[in-house]
Amino acid sequence: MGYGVFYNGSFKSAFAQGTSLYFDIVCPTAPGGNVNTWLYLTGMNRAGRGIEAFVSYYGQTAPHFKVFDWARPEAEHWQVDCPWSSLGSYLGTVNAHGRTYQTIGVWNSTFQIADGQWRNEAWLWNRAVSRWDLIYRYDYAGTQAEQTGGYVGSWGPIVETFQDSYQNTNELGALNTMLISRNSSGTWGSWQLLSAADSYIRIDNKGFDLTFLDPNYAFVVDS
Amino acid sequence: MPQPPVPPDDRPADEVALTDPATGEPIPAADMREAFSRMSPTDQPEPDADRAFVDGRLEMIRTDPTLTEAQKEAAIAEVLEKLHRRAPDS
Repeated sequence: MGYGVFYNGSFKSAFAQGTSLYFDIVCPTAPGGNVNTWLYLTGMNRAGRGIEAFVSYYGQTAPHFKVFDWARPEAEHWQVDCPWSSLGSYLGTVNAHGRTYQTIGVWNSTFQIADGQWRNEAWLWNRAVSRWDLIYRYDYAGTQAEQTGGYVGSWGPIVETFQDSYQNTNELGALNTMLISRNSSGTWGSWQLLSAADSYIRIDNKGFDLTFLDPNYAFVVDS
Repeated sequence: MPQPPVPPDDRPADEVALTDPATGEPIPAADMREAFSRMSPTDQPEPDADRAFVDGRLEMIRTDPTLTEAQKEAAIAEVLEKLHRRAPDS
């Protein structure tokens, strides 16, 4: 783990029939620096059987957008693997702290659709036509305890690393991180920026330096 | 980017629609699942990708300064159980 946001224990379980995450992933077309293996820009919506809809780098080649579904059985977890060249409609820029960053808007949800039945979804914001595009959906049998408990789902936006140290990488991160919860009556609340009261920053000393942090809904790091 | 609406609740699996919770009006949405499925490999990703993903998650747990050793063991067991869960009919 290079740098990123983890949910506090109480917030990780602070939903009943559903939880949903939106964030703008700050994702240059190449990671730059000494990246020579995998590097993920990922995040989960708190649900223990939710999904990771994320940007996956390998070395300096153009990244892929992938979906990993924790609810699927073995050998079916990987569900979407989209080359960067096909994502033009979804890539754009967001300004933050006087800088302009290339981003992709990712919305992923996990919610109950009937007693004992849950759904995982991933949507992308299509900037070319101002539209939400559903790119992934999976319905499965599950329980609320599986979703609210455990460790899986406890990471929000993170820069996940696979090397011991990093140097001269481009700026990576997440902006506008928001979550929304569905209560036990099935009513969704309202979107809230991820706060420092509900989460904490984890830094694993892999060489990443903070460019800025808006606690804790936005951060950009480089090395 | 506009704020997302609330998720679309219990619509049928083949139905794709979003509604503005404030106005009840439909929000532009499209079903791109088939297009994204076509772009994705039909078989398992390269073994390295699978191994990297698993190793990354386990390393994240082992180096988590907020977890006790017992909590780490429980988290690793949970991750491995979820990664190797068998299909319901198998």
